[in-house]
Amino acid sequence: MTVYAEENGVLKFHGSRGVTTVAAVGLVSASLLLGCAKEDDARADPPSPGPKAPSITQAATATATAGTASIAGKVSFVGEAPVASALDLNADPVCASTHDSPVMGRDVIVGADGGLKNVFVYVQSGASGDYDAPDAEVVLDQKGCVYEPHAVALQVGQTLNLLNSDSTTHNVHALPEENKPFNTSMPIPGMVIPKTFDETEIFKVKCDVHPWMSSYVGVFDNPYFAITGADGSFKLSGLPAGTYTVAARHEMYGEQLLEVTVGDGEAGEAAFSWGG
Amino acid sequence: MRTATPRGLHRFAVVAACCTLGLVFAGGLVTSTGSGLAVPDWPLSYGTLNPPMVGGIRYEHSHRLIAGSVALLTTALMLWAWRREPRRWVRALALVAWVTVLVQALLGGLTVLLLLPTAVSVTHGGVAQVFFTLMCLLAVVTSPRWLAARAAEPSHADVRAIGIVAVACVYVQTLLGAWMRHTGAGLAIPDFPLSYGRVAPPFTSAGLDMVNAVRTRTYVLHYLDSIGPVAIHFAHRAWAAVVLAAIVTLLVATVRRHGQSRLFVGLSAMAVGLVCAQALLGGLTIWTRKSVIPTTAHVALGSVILATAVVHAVIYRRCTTLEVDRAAATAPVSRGAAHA
Ligand SMILES: [Cu+2]
Repeated sequence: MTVYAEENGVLKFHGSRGVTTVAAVGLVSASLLLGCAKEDDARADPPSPGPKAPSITQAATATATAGTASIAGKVSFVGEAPVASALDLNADPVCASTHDSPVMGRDVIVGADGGLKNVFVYVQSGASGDYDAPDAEVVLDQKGCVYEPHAVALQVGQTLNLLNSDSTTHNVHALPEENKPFNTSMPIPGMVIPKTFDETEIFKVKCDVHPWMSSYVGVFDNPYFAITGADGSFKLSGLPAGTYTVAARHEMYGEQLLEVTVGDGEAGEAAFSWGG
Repeated sequence: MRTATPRGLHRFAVVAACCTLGLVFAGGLVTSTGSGLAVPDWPLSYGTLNPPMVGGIRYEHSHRLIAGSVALLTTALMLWAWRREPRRWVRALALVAWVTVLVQALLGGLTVLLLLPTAVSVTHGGVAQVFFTLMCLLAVVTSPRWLAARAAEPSHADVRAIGIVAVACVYVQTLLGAWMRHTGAGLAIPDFPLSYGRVAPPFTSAGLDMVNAVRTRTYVLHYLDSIGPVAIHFAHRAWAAVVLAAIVTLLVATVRRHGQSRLFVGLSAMAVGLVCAQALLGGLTIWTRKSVIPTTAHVALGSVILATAVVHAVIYRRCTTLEVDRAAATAPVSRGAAHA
């Protein structure tokens, strides 16, 4: 059984300061080289650095109502995990040259302890109320011709910054059904394009220049969502007492639902598993 | 001067038809490699005629360059025919081909700008087949053999009818194939010739669980959230049997009615052979998990089968005499051969 686990266990976003610099450089070069920076596509002012590098759960708790309950657990893969194969990056010499070791496919990443990575876990129903979009911005980076991270989650109205950290061309082709689909070229290294979404859904983002590049974006209308780390764990916190339908969605295996009831201050549990 | 069809016009039409087959292959490559949106702008590519030829851009931009060249060839063919071709309907055919290639270019641009909506992409695929067939027809009807041909044998209604039915069946199949490709359903059934180990796959949402279990466990393919792609995919497989039946019937009828005609029997036998080869390529597409070359060859061979069926029908009409024609030939005012 071959198991591929990524080196850094937790999904982390790149520091916003780095993003700011890259965005500024990108903008300047964009306006100098192309003069095509449409207000719609490229932001007028670079993203302001947040107080600290936000992680998904931090972003989520930031706007949560005064709830004190939480739901945590693990998404497991039972049985023999599929063997990840190395991506062939040779179609673009720039891509191949940015990696010293083979880059493995990321469809299914099972940790040594059977945790399934990159699963969206979110409150599908039970959360009522209006949740303002957090100010923290989320970054989907194109780095070494792969998306970092492979899965990102954000709230309706929250800003997703598409970033090209490579010195080659990418196109960002988003395939939502509820939100507006788009296909944007990002030919300039350091370019940043901000996007926001109005509807709840999980959709695929791909690059058609580099067909191996794919990523999933989860947009949620409440702040109770997470993406599992390498150990398959997740935690939804700041929940008011109540009964929730918690969904786990994986790109390869689909969706599972669980009903969980938590009281104030309680730590509820949810376990999902695929395979077997 | 429109005295006689120039020999050069025929040769030029043959070259143009061959280039068009290359264009169909190049267009097929774009979808097979998933490069349809590697260049987000149109008609320029990243604002230039010379984008970096890496990854998917190579396929998409090459397709545009080849398409531009074929459009130029078609324009030249149309102008040449317009000046020198004596038969009005051949000039009209050249004009129709020219208009088709322009419409096709617009559809290609539209499908890029609208982010590959299924309807537009399928239409772009469907018009490609029509355009290739038109180019083949132009090559055939300008050939010396066509011009010298005589309506030697009596025309049989059954052969004519089956010929037209076969053309329709093949064209429907190319549309089903395009629909399957542009909905990403090419591996919605991952085994061949069986479908999820059965003669027919499940079509109910209850069967979806079984489908997804087999997909993810046995084939390591992503789950489907509806059974729709399986149905589309299976329609293409089931219709293949209809196409085979139609083409074999055409061969049988042709042999029965015109067993002595090497041309008719040869063309219909060729169609049967091509359909069998096509079934094999379809299987290869599945067995290699949509490996680019067999998948694209399957698309191109589909065009060749359609053109063969159409050419068979057209040559049959040219080289056989209808009852009405024979009646007309004996009437005081003869139709004459000049405009055949
Ligand atoms: Cu890319």
